[in-house]
Amino acid sequence: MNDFIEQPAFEIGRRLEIRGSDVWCVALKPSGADATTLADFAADLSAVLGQQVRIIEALPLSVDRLCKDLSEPDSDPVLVSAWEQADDDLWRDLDINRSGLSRPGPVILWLSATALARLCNRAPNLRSFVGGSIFLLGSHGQAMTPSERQKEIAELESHYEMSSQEMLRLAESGTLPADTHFVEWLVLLERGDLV
Amino acid sequence: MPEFAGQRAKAHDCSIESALAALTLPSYRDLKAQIQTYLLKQNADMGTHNNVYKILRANADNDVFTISLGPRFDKGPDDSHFYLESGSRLSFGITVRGSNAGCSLLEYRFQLSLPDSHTPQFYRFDLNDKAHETPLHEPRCHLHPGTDKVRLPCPVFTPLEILDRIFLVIEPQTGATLATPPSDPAKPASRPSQEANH
Repeated sequence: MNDFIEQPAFEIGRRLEIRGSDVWCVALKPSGADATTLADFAADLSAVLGQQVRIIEALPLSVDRLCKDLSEPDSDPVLVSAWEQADDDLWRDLDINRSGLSRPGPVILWLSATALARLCNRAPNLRSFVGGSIFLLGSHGQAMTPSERQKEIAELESHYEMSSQEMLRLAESGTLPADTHFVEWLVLLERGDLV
Repeated sequence: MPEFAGQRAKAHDCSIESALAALTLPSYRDLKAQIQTYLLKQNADMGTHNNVYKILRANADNDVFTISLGPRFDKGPDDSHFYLESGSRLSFGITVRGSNAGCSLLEYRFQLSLPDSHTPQFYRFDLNDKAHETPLHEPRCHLHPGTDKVRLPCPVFTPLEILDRIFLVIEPQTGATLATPPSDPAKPASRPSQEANH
């Protein structure tokens, strides 16, 4: 995995844009990737490409079904996931049927390192579709850390000269003044239920 | 008639309520991705070195989500602002209520502080979470044209529409105003250093 360049979704999307149509690439899953990582990646790519990226699960689809899903429609960007259970036979079948997988729209294969090794070893022709476009998706945590939250809360308490408890009392009694900061303050205190 | 100003302001606030009710944003995930991508593209196009991944923050509780960037209260340049080519600095906070299907806007604040000596010193677009009791002086959706005490009513914009006004309307004018005549020495805008983007 260390051999591949770590790229954020934005850069991967820009490369797809530059390369135009009929482009394949592999996005290697970062460690700890889960369904949220995939959904975030698809959202980021959709924003860069300006069109909705469709997620297709490779398994339990058959090769025929995968060909059909890729061709209907054939111009939108597609992110193909769920390769974990794909065995050597499936990769070989895909390689043989590679012409059926060809499409004008971009294809991004969402693979683990193990699945990438299988692609390289068992599907050399499909591997040539990808060429050098193999990227390790960079992870970029944007969720606020607990210490950042505490800092923001302290800043709000200082600015309004009011404790969070006092602010919560006002929110519970429905007497909070109209102000953009109070809603954010409630979310920081994990009291989104009062919004 | 001046004596009906309060009623007119209230009627305007009611129209904002209707506009908000009709406004549908994408899912929170897509909205966050769109805002991040907008900033990354601007950063790349302007050749600025804002670390968007570091300064853009997200928070959530129940079905309420926030997306924020920069300090909550602008007390001068710091490394959590997004800097534009002119030296103007941007900070914002957006709160939405949402699901995977889409979100509705609850409130926002976008502040663009212009470089020193520029007039006005800042623009701030605010959408309050609810109507104020005196909407003439504090309309639910308003613009501060460089002073905290003056709030001029404005339409409800989506977050991307506000970024459009900041980057494509205000920033070019600010940059043009700051363009240095040949006889004047160039005066680079002061700002703290930031890590470059990935």
